[in-house]
Amino acid sequence: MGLEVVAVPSGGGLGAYDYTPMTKNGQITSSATMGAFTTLLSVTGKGLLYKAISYGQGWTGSSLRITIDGTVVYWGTTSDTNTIGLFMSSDLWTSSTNTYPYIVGGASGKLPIISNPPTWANFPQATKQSVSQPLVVLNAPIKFNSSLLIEVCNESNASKLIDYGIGYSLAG
Amino acid sequence: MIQVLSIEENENFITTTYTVDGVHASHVVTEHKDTPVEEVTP
Repeated sequence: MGLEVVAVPSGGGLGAYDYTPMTKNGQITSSATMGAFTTLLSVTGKGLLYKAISYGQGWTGSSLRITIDGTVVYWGTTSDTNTIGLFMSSDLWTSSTNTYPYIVGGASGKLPIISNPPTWANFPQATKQSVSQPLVVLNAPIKFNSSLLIEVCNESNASKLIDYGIGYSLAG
Repeated sequence: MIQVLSIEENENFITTTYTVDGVHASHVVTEHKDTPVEEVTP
């Protein structure tokens, strides 16, 4: 079965899905080996994915890869500190004093900025996307039937700090 | 309804097993342990 998004009923909410939103925001130290992925989150079971964003500290770049039910659906790379990943349109927030939008909920609740301006990536994307800021805006969460895997890696041969924010839920 | 069934921890990961809607051990979530967060200027 292909990638599924969840239709949002006209009245809002997620219809029959009895869900409990879960978040995982934080910061990890990547492997010092270029391209060696570190698992941020692995889920077996059924659920919904709302957000998976990351931004590496420093200018050597980082990658974020998302696998749903065994199939890579997002693989983004940035060559700098820009935020990459996918998120719900409701996560966008714009300050009245800053023309750049922010994404709600990064590491420790920080608001990662979208700057310079973003390059909106095609989706799903099974291969590595080497554009400056591959971002995907979702209008509805993505359903996973059996597994979800979210990984990051460094794009140079030195460990670095990578901040991230993940929003998901488990469904029965 | 989601209930925690067990939590296991090793050097790098925390694995939590959940019971969802009464189905025993239906979901397993493995999370990487975090490095202490430092301030980031966007």
